[in-house]
Amino acid sequence: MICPACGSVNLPGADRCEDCLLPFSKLDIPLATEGLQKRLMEDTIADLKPQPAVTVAPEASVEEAVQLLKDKSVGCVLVVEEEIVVGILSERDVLYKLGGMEGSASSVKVFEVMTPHPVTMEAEESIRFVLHQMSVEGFRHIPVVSFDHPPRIVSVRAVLNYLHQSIEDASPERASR
Amino acid sequence: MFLTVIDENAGFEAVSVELTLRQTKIRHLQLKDMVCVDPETSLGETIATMQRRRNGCALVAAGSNLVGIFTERDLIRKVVGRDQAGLERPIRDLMTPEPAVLSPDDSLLDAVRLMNRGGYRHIPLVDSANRVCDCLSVINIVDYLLECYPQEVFSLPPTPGQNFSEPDGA
Repeated sequence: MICPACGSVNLPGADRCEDCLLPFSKLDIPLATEGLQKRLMEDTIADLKPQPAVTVAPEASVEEAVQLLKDKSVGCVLVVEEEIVVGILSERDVLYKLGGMEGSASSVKVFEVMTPHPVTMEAEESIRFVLHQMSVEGFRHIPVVSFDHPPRIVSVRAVLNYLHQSIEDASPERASR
Repeated sequence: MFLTVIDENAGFEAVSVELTLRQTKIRHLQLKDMVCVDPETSLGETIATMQRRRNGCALVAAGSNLVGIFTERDLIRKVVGRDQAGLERPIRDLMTPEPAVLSPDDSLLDAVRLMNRGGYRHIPLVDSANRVCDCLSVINIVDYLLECYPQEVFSLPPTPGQNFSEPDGA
């Protein structure tokens, strides 16, 4: 640990600088004081405004599910059986797994094409878990579940909107400085 | 003297994200290889290419000039469930013509604004002569922003509520 104040070298894990007595403990904690960083540390998934999910039964045909995607203008449907989320069917699943098969959408069932057991979150969790999953795993939709609420969805568009909003919020008074 | 510098870092940070977005050009991002097809390519072949390359978006270019874009959403809207949608049809009939584009020299903030306004997930990048350069995806932007906060975002356990009884490696 090199002391940022006096530049002397200390043992790793030291609590304070041996030369100038600057405490080190504060330096390791992320400083969540303002701007996007503060919002990332404090906001919950509910702040992304999850939308009520469009749901479909696993036994439904892919054709029905695709019709739902079109009618509701959404990127994915949740596959729900007895009020439990068992899978997720996104545009990407249709492209990758059904792709060019002609006229097959009516004969294939949703559970054959869906992504089973998606990662789900609760609305009270930190927003960072959603961002982490989207960035690391490449998911574009994450179901938000709770006991007293029908399932909802957070999409990457909501995330982009959120990031955009926090940047625009931060900019005007910054620019005037 | 140095102590005040450390304290000011916190305020400096909020400006820097917006500044980075403004100053970073799209060409500075590491983008995935794009899928680019000819307007006369058949639908079946385009889908096969997208599946093989694991890409949800294909640019359609005549020569090197961008004429359209074909994404997962076009597939859902115009192909799946339609009986007469043959796989031999040229992609030209199914693509979205003249999509909104940006130049690689535009800033990330331009891209964020355009995507937010239009609800786009992919923006083709073209140079001043309308030649295709690359394709920017929404996840590239989210990734870039989050890389500014490795400590907050990437050092999380995979699921919420996962606690480790003892420190790793101790």
